[in-house]
Amino acid sequence: MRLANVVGTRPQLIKAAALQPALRQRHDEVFIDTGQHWDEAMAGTFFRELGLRPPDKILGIGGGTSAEQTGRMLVALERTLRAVAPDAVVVYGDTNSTLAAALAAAKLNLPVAHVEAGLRSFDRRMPEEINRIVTDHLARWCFAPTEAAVANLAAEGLTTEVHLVGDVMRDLAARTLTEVRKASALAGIAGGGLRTGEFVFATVHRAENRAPDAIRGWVGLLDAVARADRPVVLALHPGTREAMDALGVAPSSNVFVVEPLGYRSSLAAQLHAAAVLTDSGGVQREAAWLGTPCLVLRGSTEWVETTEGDSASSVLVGLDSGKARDALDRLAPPDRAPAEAARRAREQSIETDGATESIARLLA
Amino acid sequence: MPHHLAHVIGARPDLIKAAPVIRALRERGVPQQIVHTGPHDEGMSDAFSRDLEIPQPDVNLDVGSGTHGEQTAAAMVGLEREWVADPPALVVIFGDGNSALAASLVAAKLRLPSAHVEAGLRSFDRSVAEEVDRMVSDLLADLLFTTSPEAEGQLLATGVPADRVRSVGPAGERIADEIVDWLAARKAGDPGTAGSAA
Repeated sequence: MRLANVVGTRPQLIKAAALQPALRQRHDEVFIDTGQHWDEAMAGTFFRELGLRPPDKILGIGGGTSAEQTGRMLVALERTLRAVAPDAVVVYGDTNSTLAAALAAAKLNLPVAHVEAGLRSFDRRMPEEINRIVTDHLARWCFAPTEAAVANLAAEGLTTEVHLVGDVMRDLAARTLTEVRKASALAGIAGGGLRTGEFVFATVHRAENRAPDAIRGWVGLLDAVARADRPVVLALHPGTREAMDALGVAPSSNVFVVEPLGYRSSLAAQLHAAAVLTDSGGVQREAAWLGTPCLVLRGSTEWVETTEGDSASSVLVGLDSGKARDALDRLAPPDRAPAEAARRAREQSIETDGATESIARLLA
Repeated sequence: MPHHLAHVIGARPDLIKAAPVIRALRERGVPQQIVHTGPHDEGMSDAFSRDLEIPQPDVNLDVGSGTHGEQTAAAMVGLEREWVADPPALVVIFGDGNSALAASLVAAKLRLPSAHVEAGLRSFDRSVAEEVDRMVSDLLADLLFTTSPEAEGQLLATGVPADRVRSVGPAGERIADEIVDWLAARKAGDPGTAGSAA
């Protein structure tokens, strides 16, 4: 099959990187980037470290209001898809690029494959929820990551060509894990010098963690767990950093604030860290696959399977410093964490659901 | 506080469908705005409006001719500009063209409630472009007016909550009454009918 593979944001590039090898084994791929979150400076390294081919078509559409951005994508994608004349169009997740590609394809009578179908927050005030619902209903194939996603689709009458394939990100993590086992994979992070099991890796990116009280909360929490002999490496979203700087708050010198890491560096940091602290559902899942203890800086999570049961390596701590310290003492005590992390880096393996292979096979 | 309704009209058949609703709402004293997206050759002449006993459109977006993508994009940008400046209490969508698709998407993204007249119609032929428009408008509407039990069944089968659906037949009077009731309930904060701000 000739497939138009459409991405626009960084998370979509990572999902496309997960899927691309399996797709290209069976299909002809035309790789289209709308440019929704294009960052020239980052792009080169980003594509290289993901092993991602450069896009065949770059539409260069970012910025503008919601309607302007979606509208310009619609026009450009309609023109591009007409020229490419694919047998099907593959879209990912829930962004304006997803919506525009699904609409343009549907109007051209091209079948749409939706990767990460069936996710619902049940909050229609979120623009992503609108994008998800419309894309799922326009798609011929819905590739769902979980049972819950399949149930969500069934509740909306979508049952044909709905496939429970698992999480494509798990496939990519399994592939990349083998490349980051050595401590040398940490070389580019925080100026180098990080040692396996002797640091904590943290990420903060969610909108609710940019409010003044929340910023004071997580800065205090990170200060409480950071030690001179076990620093926190904090990969901070630029928007979050801006909010923190505007508030005039800064963490102590035992917290190293760095730019967001690329996919492989982030996986390396998670594998080699004593523990991970995050408000990201994606990082929380990756830490669980890697077996690294994870403290979730949120009151709730949609990924409950990683936080339940006696052997759970994830704990919801919210922004409570006391809870975070207790959890770290239990899950990653400084005297045992380095050996534990070294063992993970050496031995950990990730069993995959074969999501990418299933998708490539089902697109026939 | 928004108070007026915005009727979105694309092609002439939309206006013919809208006319009885607009007349009935006028009799009930509901402030209304008629937005004509203005596809090519679908001009609303004075005579046409006069024959239907409704006013000329308040806004003409003049999207002109073009591909589906171009027309939808132009209508989306025009409607967003209009409704950010002056948000209506309810967007009323007639029919199933690019204008309806654009209006549904923009209303949903701006968190404005929308009503779809003649909801739930399906040809079950995805190669018909209007099928896409109908599906999206139905998925995103807060209030859906149906003309047949089949249409109502179709909506319920796609997970549309029953309390959003009103079986009214083609009568403009019934639709006007339902809209007036819905607006009153929403104002009163009745979660049963006005819970969603999609």
